[in-house]
Amino acid sequence: MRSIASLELSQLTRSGLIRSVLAVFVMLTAFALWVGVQEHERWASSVAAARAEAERLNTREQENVRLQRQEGFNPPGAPSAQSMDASLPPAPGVILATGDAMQRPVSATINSNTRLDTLFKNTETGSALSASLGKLDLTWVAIVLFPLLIIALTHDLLAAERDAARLGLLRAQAGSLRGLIVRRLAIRVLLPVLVITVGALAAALLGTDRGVVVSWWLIVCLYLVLWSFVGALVSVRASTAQSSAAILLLLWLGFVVLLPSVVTLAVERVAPVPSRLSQVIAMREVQLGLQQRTAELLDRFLTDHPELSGANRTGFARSSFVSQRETEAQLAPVMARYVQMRQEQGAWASALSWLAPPMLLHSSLAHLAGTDGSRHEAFVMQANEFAANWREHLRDRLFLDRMLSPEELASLPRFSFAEPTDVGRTGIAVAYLFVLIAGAMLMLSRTLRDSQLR
Amino acid sequence: MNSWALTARSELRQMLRDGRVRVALITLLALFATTLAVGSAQQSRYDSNVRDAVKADRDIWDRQGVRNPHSVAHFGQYAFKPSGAISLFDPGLTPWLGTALWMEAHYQNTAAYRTVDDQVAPTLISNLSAAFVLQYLAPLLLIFLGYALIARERERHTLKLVLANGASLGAWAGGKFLSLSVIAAALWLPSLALIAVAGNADERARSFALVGAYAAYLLMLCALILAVSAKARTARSALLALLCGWVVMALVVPRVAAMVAERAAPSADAGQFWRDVRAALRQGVNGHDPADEREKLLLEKTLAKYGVTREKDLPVSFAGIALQAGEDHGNEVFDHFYNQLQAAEARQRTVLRVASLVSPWIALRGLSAGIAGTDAEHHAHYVHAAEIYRRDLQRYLNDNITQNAKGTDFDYQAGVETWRQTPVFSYRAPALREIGDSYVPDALLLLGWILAAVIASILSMRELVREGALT
Repeated sequence: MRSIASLELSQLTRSGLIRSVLAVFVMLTAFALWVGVQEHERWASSVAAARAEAERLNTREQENVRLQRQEGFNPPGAPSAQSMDASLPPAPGVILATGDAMQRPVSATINSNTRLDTLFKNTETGSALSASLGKLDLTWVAIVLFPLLIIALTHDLLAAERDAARLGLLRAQAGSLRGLIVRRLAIRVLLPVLVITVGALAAALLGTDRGVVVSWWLIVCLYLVLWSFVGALVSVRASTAQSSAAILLLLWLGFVVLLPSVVTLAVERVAPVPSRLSQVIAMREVQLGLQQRTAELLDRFLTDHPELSGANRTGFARSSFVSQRETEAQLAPVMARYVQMRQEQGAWASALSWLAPPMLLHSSLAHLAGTDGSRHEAFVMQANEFAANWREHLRDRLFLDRMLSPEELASLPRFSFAEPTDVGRTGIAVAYLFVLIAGAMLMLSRTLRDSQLR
Repeated sequence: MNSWALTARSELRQMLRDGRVRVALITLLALFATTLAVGSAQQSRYDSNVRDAVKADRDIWDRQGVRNPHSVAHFGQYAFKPSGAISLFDPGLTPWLGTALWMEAHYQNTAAYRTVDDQVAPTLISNLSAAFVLQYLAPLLLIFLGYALIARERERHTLKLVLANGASLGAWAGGKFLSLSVIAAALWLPSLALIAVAGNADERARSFALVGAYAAYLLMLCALILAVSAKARTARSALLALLCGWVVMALVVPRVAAMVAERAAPSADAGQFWRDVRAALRQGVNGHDPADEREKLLLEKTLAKYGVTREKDLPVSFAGIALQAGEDHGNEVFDHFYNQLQAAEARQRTVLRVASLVSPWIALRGLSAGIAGTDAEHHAHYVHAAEIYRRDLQRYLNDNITQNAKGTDFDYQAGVETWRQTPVFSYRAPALREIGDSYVPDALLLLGWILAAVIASILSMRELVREGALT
């Protein structure tokens, strides 16, 4: 058995074409890792710069208070002039799956006027040109391109022998057909799995969370095994190696290229999110309505908060504080509707992605890496909670005209992101893959039993 | 019937005899029609949303009561971006570009509310559109139909037979090319609907240009497929080479090129960009800080200009002058930083054009989005128009303060007619003839690919003769 395996391996590696294709995939894997590292560095430096700037401003303000030096509009230590960054640290698996993570804002500046709908103002400076072409990260390479390598290796698993009428001879030498296929499949899937394993190990060495790497590797390997079984099944059933390749490529085209695009289009049609433009108009209406009511709002707010008796009723900071809160309160139903429709769209996307395993696995891997939308949504939620705490922390000082001391400035709250807990999507993806592999194995086994292969 | 037509008819008959080919062709055509219909519905829904938003925002603007003009300047207006002329066919960069731009005092904001921010489902290759069908899927069908056109004849040693019947090599190869072109034409034909539904002369011109570009692209593919089929030893190796070419050129090279472009001309980090902008803004007058030395200097100059020594003796409001000085300084700052962003984007575009030498997909994508009015160039035009409007609006409001707020400054209240008199921001996208020059390099690159493909097929045919396959 070992001799057949080594013969198979030597035959594969002797082929110039296979060697070239493997070399291309090794290069693609290396390039994808490099892309991941670049994205990680970009993200980390963006967050570090935001953090450093917030601390620099805080230190500068402490100095201003000590020297009683006024810079700009506000007196030193004014509560309304203080700000702090809320930044999302690089995702634990960004080297493996960058996705479109850097398309989303990773830092927000929090002050007493921060509103949910304006948390990320002016964050659209990235290049649409390169974003539209997509990112060549390791997950994309594994999900989209590696199946092609598997197809190249498995399409002639048996069909080539049949083409050359050598099947009978081979069976006589190698024993059972099932055993022969299993051995050949194992050898042929070994090469791509080896490349992926090296890629995953390199990602771990480059600082990716070990747990993420192991789960990612497991899912990708199972995905490749699934394609191998599909390749074997088609190769056994097809009349020639050529038609086997054509069928497999059509399957790849359907499941990897076409279905995800159709699902995305369908989801947008079935559960469209409300127009963002109407959201803008709703916000403008609220702001217009509040324009002439700031004095009234301030009075109401102070009546509702007797602990602020003696508060100053004039000044931009105070009127802005109450009008921002009122705006947020009045916009809450609009924002809630948007969030609800997005969740509905997400639910549809999750449901329909079961039809296209590559799509489901891609989103599972992005989720695992922390570069999908859910980690960012957790960040937005936490940043808003932080903004609320920030306001609460400074509210009394703001209304009672109490400036902050250097010590109080130094001890202002800092944002710290708490990683959301995984809801078992990795397990679901693995289970799904096992079911699909089992199905493909069963079909292969039946085909082998029923067919009269000669 | 000449031998070109005879060969073409025979090949076509052979291709269409296969039920799978017929199904694939019909599926692709149905997909194309569906994407056009969905694109059209999306475009009209979006345009209707924009029209409603423009009307509502203006109504809100007009309904402002008696206010201080600077408060009005802070309230600002929104510039809503209309959809690209024929975005129903090719959305281009639209999902990654903002749709609404807040035009407020002191700041030149970026356009916000991108479609990509709302998208929850991941896209593995690209969003489905009519352009996607022609760019990615049509080539695959042509490859499957055309890879064996010559290679199989060579494999089966049937060439001698064909030529013995009196057909010339040129006519025979021409017939093969014609048969594949007929399939390409069948895939391309529905795009002519764009011309039929074009609403005005510019849309018609764009539709013609777009349809022409895709026709050229599909013909280039046919020539390329024929060349590979003639060059390959076997039909199998022709298929393998063509599919590898498709994967590399359509999927891998554009992504690699995007990364290289990003490295060659890094896009600005939003946070850093605005930190730099704010730091630069602090270096000048802002109109809100009388204690600022630069504002004091401006006051001295203004007093000297009017020949008085005290602010209260000025015949105008200094607040308005200071605010406008702040705007003027801000304009210089924004011009500097936004020009840097645009320069980086232009360098990225150059890198991508260089990459077009390896992949015609990149040249076609750029050309297609440009003609459809959905590329960065058109977006920059919209942003520029909005910024001109913002600057004019700020100047108008600040002048109003300068002329009318003497002695009251920020307590001054202007009447509602002050805002109602301001012109409505109505954006008109540039016509293709105004902006068309920008796409000449992409068109030339595509033309270069067509020439290369034609030369490659001619050379492959000659090689066939040279190696004795036909003699």
